[in-house]
Amino acid sequence: MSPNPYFTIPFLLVVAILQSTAAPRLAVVGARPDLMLTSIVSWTLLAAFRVRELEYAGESPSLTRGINDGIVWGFAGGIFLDSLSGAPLGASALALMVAALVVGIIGVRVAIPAPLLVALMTALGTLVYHLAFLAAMALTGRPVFWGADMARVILPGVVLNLVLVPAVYGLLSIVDRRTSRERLQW
Amino acid sequence: MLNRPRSRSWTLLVLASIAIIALILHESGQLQPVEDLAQYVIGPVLRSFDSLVGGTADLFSTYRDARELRTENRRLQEENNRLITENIRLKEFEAENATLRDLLKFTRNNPNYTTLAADVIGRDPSPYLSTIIINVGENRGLKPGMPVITGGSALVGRVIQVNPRTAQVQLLEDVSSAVNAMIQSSRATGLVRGQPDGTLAMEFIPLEEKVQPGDIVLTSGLGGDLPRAMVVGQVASVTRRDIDLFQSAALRSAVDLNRLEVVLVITNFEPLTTQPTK
Repeated sequence: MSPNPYFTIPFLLVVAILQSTAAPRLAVVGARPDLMLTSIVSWTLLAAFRVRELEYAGESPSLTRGINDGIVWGFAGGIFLDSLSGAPLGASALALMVAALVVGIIGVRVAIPAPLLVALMTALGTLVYHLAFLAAMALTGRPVFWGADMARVILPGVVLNLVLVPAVYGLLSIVDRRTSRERLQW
Repeated sequence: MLNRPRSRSWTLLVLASIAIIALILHESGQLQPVEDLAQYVIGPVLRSFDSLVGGTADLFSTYRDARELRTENRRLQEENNRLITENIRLKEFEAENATLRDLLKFTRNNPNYTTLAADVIGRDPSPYLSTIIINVGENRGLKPGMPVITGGSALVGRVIQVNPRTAQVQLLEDVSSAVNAMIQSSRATGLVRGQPDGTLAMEFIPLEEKVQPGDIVLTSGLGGDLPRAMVVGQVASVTRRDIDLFQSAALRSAVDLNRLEVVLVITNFEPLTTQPTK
């Protein structure tokens, strides 16, 4: 299911670099599009959809497999982000892993049309990611302004990510189709 | 058949005679009316032929010209593209030049400081943190706590993390940043801190001090973690309530911290506290 690490690692590294260089230029108010988060949400959902396809085909795939992909991506992408950030190492990784876990669990279990699920999970993933990140910051002693951050960063961030996710999901769908070794033959 | 050579000779003789007579008549001017008549008849025909031939020639010429124009157009377009690119590059150089001139002015006016110019190569990926990544690090002698400035002695922040080839600079607007500052005119001191909305505020200004919008705020040097008299910003508004112990002021940053491209790190300043608030 997971693409070759020769793709995953450079891809996540490029996304982290874009998040550090391009995303700040696209900031609206205090929010920025979360390239890494939308990539991880998209990939987690693609993995979850694949698990569901296998279920429909009568197989009994491990439900954790769909979630694991997102968590691994969340960890690697988060470490890349943290290495470019002034945040404590592991804060983004932890927050992205939590977001991938939530999105993965729901993605595997809830059967609604894919575009709607992608949109809902992007919004939910953004909320979970930011709240988990802020919690990690608060736990490491940094000042956190929950109300102000929610209004200035998180909610506008949800909107920006909803605008961004179709492109990211589309790109990763192509990658998924080309790299999947467990394609179902209908 | 035998008579043919003789008849040919006669014809030649007659025609030659006519030609000679015509020559003589022409020379004597007797033939002028005939010639005029001939010109009158032949003239338009000649003109028609001339314009027809000319038109055909023009057609070929137009085709050739069009081909040449296309080539010329392509060449000019390429030239135009090259000039546009060069213009953009020159504008970039001009902007960079202005920034570097500003920075150079600082180094000339402050010979006591050893500085190192650095390019801003990245910004914090997190929207909650205001840090930048610069392209010099431990390899050029950078250490945590070193002040970072830009043109016009404007303080940008300080180095918080050093890697072999890069360093992370905490900007003034970061919510964890706190800088001891003073109002230039009244010498009133306070603490400049980054606000959650990305602005700056000067807090803990004693109530009895007079603070007005437009006042310049400088680093006070108190605490020894930053050099004195670096420009922090300008007072935008003052919040003062008699029930409070202190007044506070919203500041306009001296530089647009979101548009930093080149900065100077003061490398010979030894901060007393090398662990900035994080």
